[in-house]
Amino acid sequence: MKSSGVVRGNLCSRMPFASGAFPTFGLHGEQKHGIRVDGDTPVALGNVTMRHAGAGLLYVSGAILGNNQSVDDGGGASRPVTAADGQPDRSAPTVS
Amino acid sequence: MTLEGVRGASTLHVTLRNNTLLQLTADPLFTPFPDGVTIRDLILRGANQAQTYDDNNPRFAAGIYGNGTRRLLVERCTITQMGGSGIQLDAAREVVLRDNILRENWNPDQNAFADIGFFDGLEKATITGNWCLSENDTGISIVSIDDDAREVYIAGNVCSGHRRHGIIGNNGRGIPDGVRIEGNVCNDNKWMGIYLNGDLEPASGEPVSTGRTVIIGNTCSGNGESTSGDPGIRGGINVNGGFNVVVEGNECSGNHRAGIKVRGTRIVVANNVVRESEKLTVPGTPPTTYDGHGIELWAGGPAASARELTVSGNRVYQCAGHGLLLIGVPDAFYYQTLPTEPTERVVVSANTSVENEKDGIHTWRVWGQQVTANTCERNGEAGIRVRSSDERTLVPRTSARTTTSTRTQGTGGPTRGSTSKGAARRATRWW
Repeated sequence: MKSSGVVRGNLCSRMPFASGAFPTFGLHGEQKHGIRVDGDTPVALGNVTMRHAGAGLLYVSGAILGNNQSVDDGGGASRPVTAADGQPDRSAPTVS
Repeated sequence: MTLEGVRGASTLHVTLRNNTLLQLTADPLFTPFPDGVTIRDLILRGANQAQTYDDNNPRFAAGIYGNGTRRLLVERCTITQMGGSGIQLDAAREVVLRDNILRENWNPDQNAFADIGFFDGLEKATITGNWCLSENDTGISIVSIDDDAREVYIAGNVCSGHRRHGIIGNNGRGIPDGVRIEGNVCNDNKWMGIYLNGDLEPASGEPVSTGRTVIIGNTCSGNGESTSGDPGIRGGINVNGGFNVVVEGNECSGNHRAGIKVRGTRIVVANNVVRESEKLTVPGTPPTTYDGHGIELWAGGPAASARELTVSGNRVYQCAGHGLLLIGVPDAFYYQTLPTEPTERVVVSANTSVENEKDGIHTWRVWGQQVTANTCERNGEAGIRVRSSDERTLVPRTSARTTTSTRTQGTGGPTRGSTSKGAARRATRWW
């Protein structure tokens, strides 16, 4: 049985900020992607992604996409997850 | 009976470290319950030494102790330097504690002593406007083994600087029913600001209206810096096993590991503001560093039909981890003998997650989720990441209710065991 998920109508943006001004953590790095869905049969509809260094939307095979908008995302509007992105991570989270 | 002093001038002083100052004790088998007692405007002062009983029993050396007490009012008292708890009540009903100051009741034993402590059931209690400032285990404790707390209102208290928790409910099991924790300030406690530690769901046969816990409008900041003991129990607000719980409108800032952490069934986390959660580094070889997430929700659990999570309208800023982290059904390989069921009806909507170190919203193996209308800006990694497992490692739902079968799961997974709550709880510690 597959899990399912719907990612819909979200706004993800990386607004410009001055170098060194990233709070708390120093200049940690740019936001990589707007949305990454690598669950089973995910659905991503009507999201807006803006100004990410990577792609606006990353997805895996079988994803259902529709009406997503990408604005000035450096890595393009959307593309499949590749090995360079790191494959879906099946490691367990930290539990204590 | 009324015992009333002149405010700020009347002091009762006990000089022996093992003696309780005002003892309302009744042995319920042989004597009537203390009924209708008012204690007002007194300073109760102890010997400023920890009691010496080997078992560190909070029933001894308290400022006020009662067993089976009915209709007790304690107001405007200062209770200080006791060798045990400030106020300790067992099996109490119809209790009002208001506007008291409890400080320097500093017995260091970890598991017993509170400024205000209830044990073995509490029913119809109002605990308001108290200052719990001692460096003892807990500010306000309504833990119970045999009976759940019912109809308890804890509001407007300040619980600060305790060795573990500001406010704690339950003791690893049970479902508090009708507990409202509102408008308290819990800061700089070493483990949790507010910690509710109960069952994931009611026992069979209990009505679905059980629970009704509301944690609303509290301020929890700077909690969880201790590196000793279980590092999973750290943060601002932690509902570790709850049913019918609302966590709303709280402000959590600068807590270690998580601003708000929730696990249970039928949980609503809404309109909270969480900022600047910090990492926790536990010394060791090598040291272990845990992220400081904004809001962390555990939807799945051992033998639990954890469902119906709503995470809505929260604002999370500048946390040293994910802004919102939702963790769903685990696989049998990792959780070994614990059977699981999938999460269902998880809604993550209208949250704002900004400038967190990792993802704005990160979900992991949450089934049937709706992530809608959220705003994520300037997070360190992805704005939203929906992360799942390979389906081969998921536990098929059709087998989730298996109670006695033995099988392996995934790649050489372990053997399943009993699904009883007790067995599951004994099998592992989740937090």
